[in-house]
Amino acid sequence: MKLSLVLLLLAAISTTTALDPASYSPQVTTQPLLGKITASTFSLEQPLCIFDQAQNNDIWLLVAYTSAISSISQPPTTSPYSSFAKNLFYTTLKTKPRNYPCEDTVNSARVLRVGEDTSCVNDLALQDCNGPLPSSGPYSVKFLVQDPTSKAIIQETGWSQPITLQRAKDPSHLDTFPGRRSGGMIVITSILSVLLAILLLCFIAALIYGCRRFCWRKEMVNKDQLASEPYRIKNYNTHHMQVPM
Amino acid sequence: MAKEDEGVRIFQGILIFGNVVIALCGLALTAECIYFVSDQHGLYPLLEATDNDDIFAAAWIGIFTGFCFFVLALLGIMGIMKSNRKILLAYLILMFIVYCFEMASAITAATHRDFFIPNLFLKQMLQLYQNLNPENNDHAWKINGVSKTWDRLMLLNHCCGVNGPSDWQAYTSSFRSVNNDADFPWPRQCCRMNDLGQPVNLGACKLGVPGYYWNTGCYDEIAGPLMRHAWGVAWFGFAILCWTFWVLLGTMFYWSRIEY
Repeated sequence: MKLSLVLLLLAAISTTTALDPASYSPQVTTQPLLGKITASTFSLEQPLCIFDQAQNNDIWLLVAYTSAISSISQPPTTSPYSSFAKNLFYTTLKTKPRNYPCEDTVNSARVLRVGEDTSCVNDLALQDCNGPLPSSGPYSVKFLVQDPTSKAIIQETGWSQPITLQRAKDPSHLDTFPGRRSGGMIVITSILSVLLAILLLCFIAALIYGCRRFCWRKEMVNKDQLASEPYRIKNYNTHHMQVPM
Repeated sequence: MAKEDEGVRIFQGILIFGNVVIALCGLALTAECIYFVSDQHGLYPLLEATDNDDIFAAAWIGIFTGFCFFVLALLGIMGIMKSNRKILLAYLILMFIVYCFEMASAITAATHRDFFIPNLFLKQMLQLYQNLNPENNDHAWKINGVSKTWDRLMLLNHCCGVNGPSDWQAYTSSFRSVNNDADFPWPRQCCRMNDLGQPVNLGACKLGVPGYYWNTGCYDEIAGPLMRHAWGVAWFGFAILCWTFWVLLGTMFYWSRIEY
């Protein structure tokens, strides 16, 4: 009872007052999304209720190579996606605090997919382009709060943990060797080979045996002919075969 | 003499019964193999692209030998009833040849069955699916077959990749070089579709929200039917051969005993 009261209180506090942005660090979403980190995108948790809802500031996301964090000027400036290769950082996903509300009314997955927009990549003049990330990183990100009139960065959050993207492997190294033979294959092959060998031997034996009897009969026939005694071929008498061949 | 005749009759009866069984099994084998080569699941292009369709070759041999078994068994019955040495000798020689072919069919099917491992289909899928740079006409033909087969497989069987959608992420592929990663983390066919054949929610599918994409791989849909058919061709062939072995031994014995 006491515990639930405390929880309720906590919930009430967190929905009414915005957190201090400086104590917040962006992080990759913890939702079970299969594509939250791909080879050129990653999906961040939305900074809900982090920024002052009353102000009309611009919120930017700063994406930088983790290795280049120290070289970014303080306070950072906004920089377009097109100069990412030169500056080693860029800012994107410009929006207003009201898009990160305290009361979440949308039921769907609330994530920020960095690298989503592939259509703006060649538009060099565009300031806010959420273009795909060129390599596997690692990247670090933070949110910036910019005054819309003076364009000065007035607040920023902490850096995220380094985010490494998927590195795709080369399929030509996939091993398609089936490995050991299955038992069934061995059984079929060995037994059939043995059967065929036995069959062959028996066939030869039967031929020799049959032929010897046959030839011996011929000799007999010759002898019998000499004795001028008519030789009758004896058959197995099947019921429909009364006529000797 | 009467007793001896009766023994011969019984022996003839046994041999005729054996041949009737061979004839029926031969027809069944032919039917089974025809069903197999008709490729109801449309998987032949995948095998064709591996340059190894032995299993289909085995089935074609099975059609031939099954029918031969049927015809030869009839010949054998005739030969036994007439006690004709010449017919039976022809029967034995031809049966021996057919026996060798059927053996080849069974062993080929059993051997090729072992090759159907996930990596075989995975590698082929990654290298050929939607490949835009065919080396020659033959290659282009294979690419076309594999792409169409995979499109159909994934769409109709509600599966994605060989092991799952992660296949398209974990490996570089022709598909990846044609389509960028952000828009196509996996092919559209992996998304849950509505009745019009469009993704229910494309964004959710790209993100990989559970329920909006197919999480299972297609390996079972591919290897399952192929394995079953190969199993049938191999083991049914094996069973027929084991039976035929005894019938042939008996026929040889009978043949060598026919008196003139």
